Order: sequence, then structure tokens, then C-alpha cells
Amino acid sequence: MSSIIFLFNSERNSRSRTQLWERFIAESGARYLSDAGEIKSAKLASCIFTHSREYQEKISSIVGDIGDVPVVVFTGGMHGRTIRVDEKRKSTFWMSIEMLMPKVDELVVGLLAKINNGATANEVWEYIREHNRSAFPEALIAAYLLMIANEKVGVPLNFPQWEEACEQYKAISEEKDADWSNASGWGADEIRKVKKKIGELFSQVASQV
Amino acid sequence: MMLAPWNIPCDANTLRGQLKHSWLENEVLYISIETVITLWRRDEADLASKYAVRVQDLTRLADSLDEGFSPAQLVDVLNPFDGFSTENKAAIKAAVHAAYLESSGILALQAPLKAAAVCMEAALQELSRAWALAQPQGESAVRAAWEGVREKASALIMELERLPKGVMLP
Repeated sequence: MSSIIFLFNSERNSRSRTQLWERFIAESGARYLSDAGEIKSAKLASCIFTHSREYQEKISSIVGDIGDVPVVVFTGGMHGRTIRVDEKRKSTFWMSIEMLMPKVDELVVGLLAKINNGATANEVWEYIREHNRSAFPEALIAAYLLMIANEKVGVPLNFPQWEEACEQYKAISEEKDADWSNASGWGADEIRKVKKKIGELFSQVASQV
Repeated sequence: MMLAPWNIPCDANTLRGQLKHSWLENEVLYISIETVITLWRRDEADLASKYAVRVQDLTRLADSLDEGFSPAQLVDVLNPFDGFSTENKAAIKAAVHAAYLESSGILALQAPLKAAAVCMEAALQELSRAWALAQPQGESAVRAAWEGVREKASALIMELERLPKGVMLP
């Protein structure tokens, strides 16, 4: 029995999701158990593809009783970078499939490191929460909102994280179009358009640093 | 509408997604008429009454559309604002909410969404009436009513797809 189970809920057979999962397995070296219980490759963690919402029964039918082993369920229908603890089983964590998109390597490597260190379910959850928090540039967005408030009602630009906001702005400006394309599935024209918009919006922040 | 590479989570977006995906797609569009007729023949609970909570959720989403996707909610959750005074936080919230209302066009999405919700509610009421009928006229009435529900569900999905996928920035 592995010390964590990744479960991919493939309610509908989406090609882009399948590609993500294949990439996840390739990069994590995870063991892949198909719905039929067939082991495709083995290294550390278990990945189970299931079409069933009854994931506990599905897991049990393949690998037996899992006790308190943490289960991370990647699923659609979570609408953005949402995460939550299962209401019935507190060591099961539901994560939006989108969380895998932008930085699949980072998340996978981080989670596997946790496993190797014998992380508890709570520690896995804390890691996931931190990962989710870093999914969007907090300092940059906060700085941007503060600037709007400064312009409109004169709230002082007394902000301790200008430097961090500027770093985040730079990182976004320098991200490669191809990475964005992989992450979002958008075409090159859309990406250029969005980058231009972000540049217009956040160049104000950079100029404050 | 502001495009951003991040979908900044908010309850309104979760609700939008649940209504579109979990209800309208999974429980309406992907349910065949044969399944519906089977449920009706078995004298199972009226599907329209089962969806009553969803209709309430839809109304709640439509009524609070502007607040639901407002960047004002970020002021309470973003770490960099932790040390700000309550007064300053309130001022930032008011300013960014006003800026977002000006720039987002969110309020223009409210009336069409509400109209689509009213049509869906009417279609569900029609289904309820048909569900209560006995054979032989009941089956054709349920078929026709379900077709109406599906049609209104498609229209509603189109409106939900026009909504943002997370907190909007001004």
C-alpha cells in the first residue's frame, strides 16, 4: 500500500484532462491503476482513473481497505483553483484539475516529497493549501487594488510588499507564451491579447517600486 | 471584461459552476427522455420539486451577481492587507467595488440571467403539472414538458457561460 492515493475523476472523457493525467503519471512515476485494476507502471503513489463518484468503493475494490491513507482527488466541476476537504472523510482532499495545469512539475514534486517524508493527511492538506494560495500573485493583486483605492479615495500607498508585487509583475511579463498555452489551452492570439491587457494594468504597479 | 490568467476563487463562481455543470448539464441535458419517462412511470418524486433548491440557488446568484464577483471580497482574504486598519480596508473595498462596477459590465448580465431563470422556473412548473397526470395523456405531457425544460436549460447555460470564472479585477 502506498502512503498516498491520487485519484483522477474522469466523469467525462476529456482529451485535455487525459493528457494532463498522462503527464502527471510520467513526471511523478506514479503507479497507475486503471478502472479494471490493471497496474500499468509502479514507483511510488497510486493513481486511479475512475468514472465513479463513489470513489471510496472504487479504491477499495482495487487496492483494498485504505484506512486513513490520504487521498487526493483531482476532478473537474470544482470551477477554478478550488480545494476542499471531503465532508465525510477528512483525509480526502478534492482539488480542481486546473491546479495541475500551470505548474504540474512543482505540485507533483512537492507532493511526492511530502509522501517520501511520511507526511500526515493534515500536512498534505497544508501543502495543498499553500500551493493553492501561491496560484495567483497576491501581492501584485493587492497592490493593484490599493492603487485604485489611492486614485479614487486617497487611501495611502503605504504597502510593505511593493517589491514582491513588482517581482510578481516581472514574472508574469516574462512567462513564455507556450507555457501559458499549455496551461490554459488558449491560442497564441488570445494569450497575446491577455498579456497586453495585464501589462497595461500592472505597469502602474511596477512604476511605484 | 477583464481577462486574467488566474481564476481567483469565489463562492459565486463555485455556485455558477455547480448550477451549470452539476445541475443543468449533468441532471438535465445528459438525462435522456427515456430515463425521465421511466422515473415518471415508477411514480418517483417529481423532478421539478427535486430541482427547487437549484432554482433558489440560481435566484441567489442572479440577485447578488455584482457582489459575488467583486474584487472587494479580496480585501479580507489577501495577506498583504492583514495589517491595514478597518477604516482603510472599508475605503479600499468601496473604491474597488465602484471601479469594478464601472468597468466590468457585470450588471448588464443580470437581467438576461434573471429572465432565463424565470423561463426555467416556468418550464419546471409545467413539468410538475404534467408529472401529476395519469396515463394515457400523462406520458406525452411529460415528454413535451421535459423538452421544454431542456430548451430552457440550454438558454440558461448560455447566460451562465457569459459570467466571469472568478473574482473580477477592475
